[in-house]
Amino acid sequence: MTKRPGITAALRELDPAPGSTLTEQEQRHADAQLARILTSPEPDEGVAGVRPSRPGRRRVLVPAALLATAVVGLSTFLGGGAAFADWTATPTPLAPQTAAAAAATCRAGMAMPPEISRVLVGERRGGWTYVLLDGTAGEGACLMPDDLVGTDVAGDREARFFGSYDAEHVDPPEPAPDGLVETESMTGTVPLPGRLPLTTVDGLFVWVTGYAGSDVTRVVVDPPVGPDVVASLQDGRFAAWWPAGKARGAGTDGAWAYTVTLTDGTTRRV
Amino acid sequence: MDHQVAGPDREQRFRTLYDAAYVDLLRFVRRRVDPTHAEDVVGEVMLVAWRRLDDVPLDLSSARAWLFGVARHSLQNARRREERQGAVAVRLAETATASGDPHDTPDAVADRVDVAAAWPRLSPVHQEAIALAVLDGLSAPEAALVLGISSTAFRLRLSRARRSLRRHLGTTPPDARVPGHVTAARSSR
Repeated sequence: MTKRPGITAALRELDPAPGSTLTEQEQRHADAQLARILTSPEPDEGVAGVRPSRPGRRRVLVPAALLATAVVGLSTFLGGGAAFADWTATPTPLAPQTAAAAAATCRAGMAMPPEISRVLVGERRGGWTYVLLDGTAGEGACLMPDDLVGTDVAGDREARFFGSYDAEHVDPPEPAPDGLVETESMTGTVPLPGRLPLTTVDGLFVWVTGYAGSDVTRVVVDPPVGPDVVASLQDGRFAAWWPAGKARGAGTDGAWAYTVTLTDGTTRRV
Repeated sequence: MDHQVAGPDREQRFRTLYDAAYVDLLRFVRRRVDPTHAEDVVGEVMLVAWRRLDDVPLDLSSARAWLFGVARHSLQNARRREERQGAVAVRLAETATASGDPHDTPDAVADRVDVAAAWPRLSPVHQEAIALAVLDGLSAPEAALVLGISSTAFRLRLSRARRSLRRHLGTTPPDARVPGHVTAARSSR
């Protein structure tokens, strides 16, 4: 390229990224990143708008770490690191009036029929409200910032809202009296600030729902990263959600575990 | 592009692309940002590719250039608004005197020192053109795809960049003509 020999060679020798193979650590990171990308919402799964999940999507009973279904919802909200800053590991139950308002928002956002009116679980963690609903026409759940509770998000494409809706009737599992059955676990993504200015990375959260046995009085989730999460437990149904770090973090790489407290005061890891 | 795929085929196609292009993309980004940020940027680019897989060219070389273009755009967007349309500067290694090669000659060391000294004096536009050709190993059409310009415009830009580098190395008279016979080439930006 020049009259002087070796300039191109010199440029290549000054390459700040000369290696063409990954270190073991880089390979592990690349593999984990690929897994996270493949479980992120695809465009047709609603990353750009509130959209009901496909009616009849079957719930599956599998080990939690193997299941990572994308939560339908928006990824265009909160644009700041404070997304989950006030999240709490222990939930606060919703007052009946607030639960009813959140249920109405959930139904509107997920286009659920009015028959899905019973609030199985209603909780708040920091600035986020979660409701789990059921009825003769199916079951659904929603996670939303508190300021959306009581609003109609059905026609608001910019609403900050996550939800799932399953119109298929599924016979409830029958957990052992001292056990539980997790029926659903999902991941959702929230944009968090990236290391570069004006960039974002996908912040993850995980939510779980299921059935607890008749002797279970308390359910605690032990995520692979972060504090233990006290689940809401109401009439044998439990639900919990927690932030799982940035997409490159380790929050969803491992399985989470459960510890239940029984009526006799003993605890058991399940 | 009209090659939509879905389901397992879509995932398999993305896995193949990911495995084939990850290292090259990581190297591309590392040449342009602090290395501690590179994996984050690669993750963002690959997520874009996953979500826009139908837009990614089918052949690997073009797909790699497409990924580089997304990465470059991401790096541009990370800058202040008034700077976003400009070229993305490329850095070189800081240890010009040591290559680790036991057969290193004094001339080779001198070349590296001279190039390392001249490189910061190049404009980011010229750094970018030379890096795409020499370090990233792209053909003119591929580099043009990354920059969003025509192949002809890229060849002209590369020729000017090489001339500028030679001038900074003291090997070319300042009034030397631009090599080649391009008479008109318009960049899209």
